Amino acid sequence: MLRVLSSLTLNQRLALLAFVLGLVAIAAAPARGGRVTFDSGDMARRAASGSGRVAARALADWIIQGRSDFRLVDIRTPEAFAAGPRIPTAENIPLDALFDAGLDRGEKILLVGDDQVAVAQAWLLLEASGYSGASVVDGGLAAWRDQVVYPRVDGADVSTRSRLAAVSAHFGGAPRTGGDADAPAAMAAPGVVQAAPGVPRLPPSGGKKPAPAKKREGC
Amino acid sequence: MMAPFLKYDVFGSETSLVVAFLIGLGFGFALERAGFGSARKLVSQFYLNDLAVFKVMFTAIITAMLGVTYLSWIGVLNLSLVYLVPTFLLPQVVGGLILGAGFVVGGYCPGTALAATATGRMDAIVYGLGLYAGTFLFAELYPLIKPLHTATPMGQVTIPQYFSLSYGVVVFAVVLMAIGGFAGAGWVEKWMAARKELNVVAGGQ
Repeated sequence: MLRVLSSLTLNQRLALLAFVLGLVAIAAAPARGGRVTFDSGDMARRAASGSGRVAARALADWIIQGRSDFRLVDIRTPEAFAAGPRIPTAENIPLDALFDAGLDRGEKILLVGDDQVAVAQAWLLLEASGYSGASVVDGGLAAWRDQVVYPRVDGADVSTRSRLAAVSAHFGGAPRTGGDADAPAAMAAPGVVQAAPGVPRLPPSGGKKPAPAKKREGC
Repeated sequence: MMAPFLKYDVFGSETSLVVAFLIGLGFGFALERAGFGSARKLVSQFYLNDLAVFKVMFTAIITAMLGVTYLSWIGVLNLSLVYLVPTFLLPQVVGGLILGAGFVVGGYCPGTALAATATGRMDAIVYGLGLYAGTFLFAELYPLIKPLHTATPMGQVTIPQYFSLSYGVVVFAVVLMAIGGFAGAGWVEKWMAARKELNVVAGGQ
């Protein structure tokens, strides 16, 4: 054995080494994607500090400004997304398809849904998997409805009132005052929030398409 | 400590530039020392006289592949965080053909052109200027090229995923391919050298 080894040239020995390493590697099972490690203490501290949340009104301003540096991800099932009210520019990525949708680590991702537990789970999964720009729309679709589309304006001063009215009008709603009934549960504003099934997304008012600026890697 | 270091915030993006500079230094040095700063050396690959480019590149591929495999196996490297260039089948075939034709005609690929520029080779400098002009042209014509550029997207797909093979089997198959390739390349080089000798003898008569 040793005599055979010593009779080989350096190149042949290297080739033999590669062969052996390759053969052993058949048993290798490097986890791709499935397994992640994260600093649980750090995650807990960040979650407790309330970071990773975006208020519904801030999101409304971003959409009106036509900002395109974030992706608004609605994690409801496709059926619920198609049927229910949606936030303009939102794209539907159900929770179980989150890692097949080509989201980029490092891009700003805003998660929204009607089930805040599911949204929080999606956020945790993304954070733990290294998607450092993931945030949650605080209060989900309910907050969007109650704070943006049909906001309560009781006690607000005139300028705040008119600003809220303008924002809600942009999204096809109207402000509510104390006497009004609760916000319409379905948010059935024609054309804007309750888009027809064939019209999945509406461009923001700026006319700019929400094309997220993707960070490019590789050569 | 887990890799990739940048993704795990072991160092920031400023430090990553320093690291990139050092790696680039080593890469350029290795290219030049392997003789790849010469268009003659590179092109003789296509005349089958000298398959050093093929051997060096394939050696680099299997060295890196085995390194990545074992590092991720022992849990030091998180493969899911290593960036994969998305596959666009048609545009990448077209791009490969253009790059291959340019490689044969110009005598360099982009990286070796830069390494050769550093040694002051005029042909490499002109090649490099062409490279920047071509990149500029691509950007300016992008609206026209976009339908091709974004055609046939397959996402960030790997061979084990696409063919539902185990990762290790693909690693071993690539190692076998490389060893077969080295043996074949050696044989082709000998055969070409013998043919040349034959031609010289025939020409001398």
